[in-house]
Amino acid sequence: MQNIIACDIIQTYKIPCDAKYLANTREGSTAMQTQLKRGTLEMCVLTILRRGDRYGYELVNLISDAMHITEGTIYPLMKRLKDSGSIESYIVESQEGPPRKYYRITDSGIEIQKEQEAEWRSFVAAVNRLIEGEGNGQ
Amino acid sequence: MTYNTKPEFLNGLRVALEQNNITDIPDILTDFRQHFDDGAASGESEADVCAKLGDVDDIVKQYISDMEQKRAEEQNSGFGGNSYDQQQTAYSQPQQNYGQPQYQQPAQQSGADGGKIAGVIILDLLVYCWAIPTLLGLIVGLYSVTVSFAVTGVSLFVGGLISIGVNLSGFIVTGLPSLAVIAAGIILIGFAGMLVIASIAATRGFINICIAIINQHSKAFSGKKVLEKTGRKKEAAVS
Repeated sequence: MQNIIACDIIQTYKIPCDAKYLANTREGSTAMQTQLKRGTLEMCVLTILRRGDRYGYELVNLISDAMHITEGTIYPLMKRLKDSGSIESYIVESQEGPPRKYYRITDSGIEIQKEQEAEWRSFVAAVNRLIEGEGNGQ
Repeated sequence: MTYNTKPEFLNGLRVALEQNNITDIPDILTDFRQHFDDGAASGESEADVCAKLGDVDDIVKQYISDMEQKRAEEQNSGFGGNSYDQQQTAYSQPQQNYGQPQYQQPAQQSGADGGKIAGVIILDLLVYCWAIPTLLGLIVGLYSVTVSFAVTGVSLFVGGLISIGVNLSGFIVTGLPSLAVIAAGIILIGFAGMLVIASIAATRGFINICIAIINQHSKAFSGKKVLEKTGRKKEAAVS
């Protein structure tokens, strides 16, 4: 990745409340944050679904609580995950309203989530080592 | 494009999806319709939901990018790539990489087509000037031999029978005993039968060759096989 800005990384991943404040204003999202959000969105969706099935609106709100992202673009991501077999959907009839589409993670989706989480953790650790190394050098 | 009401949003989304030939549009619209309904149930206004869903163009760009990525993956199977890289490129440079598939190799494809077209032209020269006339000649020759064997065989057979029945050795001067003539007739009819089978096979083979030539042409120009081969021959696997 080019243009790693140390303070942005620190803000986004070590001090969550500041990131949320920044994220709530569109202007506050740097191009790097945008890229990082997009790159980790799939993993975030799979992680949420690993913990339990969700329906669309619910999932969108959970993610947008965690990070600022164009909510509508989560649906194309769901379609892509469904086409690749990582998730599947089922309909639940409801008395109050129209039937709801729930999403559930598949076995192959669980495998992919595990890989992505491992990749993510090692990536964050590497970047943090770099940042802390620079701090000590000064 | 941003909208303020549910019907405007859904309509704008539908139009943009149709213009870009996205698949499964009804499913996509159902997802967003349900999202609006759930939002309303949670007390959100349609305008709020529209604002939070964001720009329809950004959403459709994502569907386009996913569709093209899928197509590129199907063409270059096994070249899945890194999801981080793909998502970065798709999102961080929406203007530039709009509609650009990630790992396509167009040069290789057109090179292959060029080679195929050159091969087809050479094949055409060979085929029209030499092979087809030769093959046709051979097949017609085969038919002729079949027919002549059949006719000769039948004549000998019948002639032999007549010479036995009528006992006019003076009329029919074969120099051979009648039974031998009949036997010769039967043998020739037998050969004719085998030649009929050979003719049928040769005709079918010739038709298959013609079909293969037509397929080679259509594959070079449009990438599709137009006709199926007849008979028991399996199609040669050409990637």
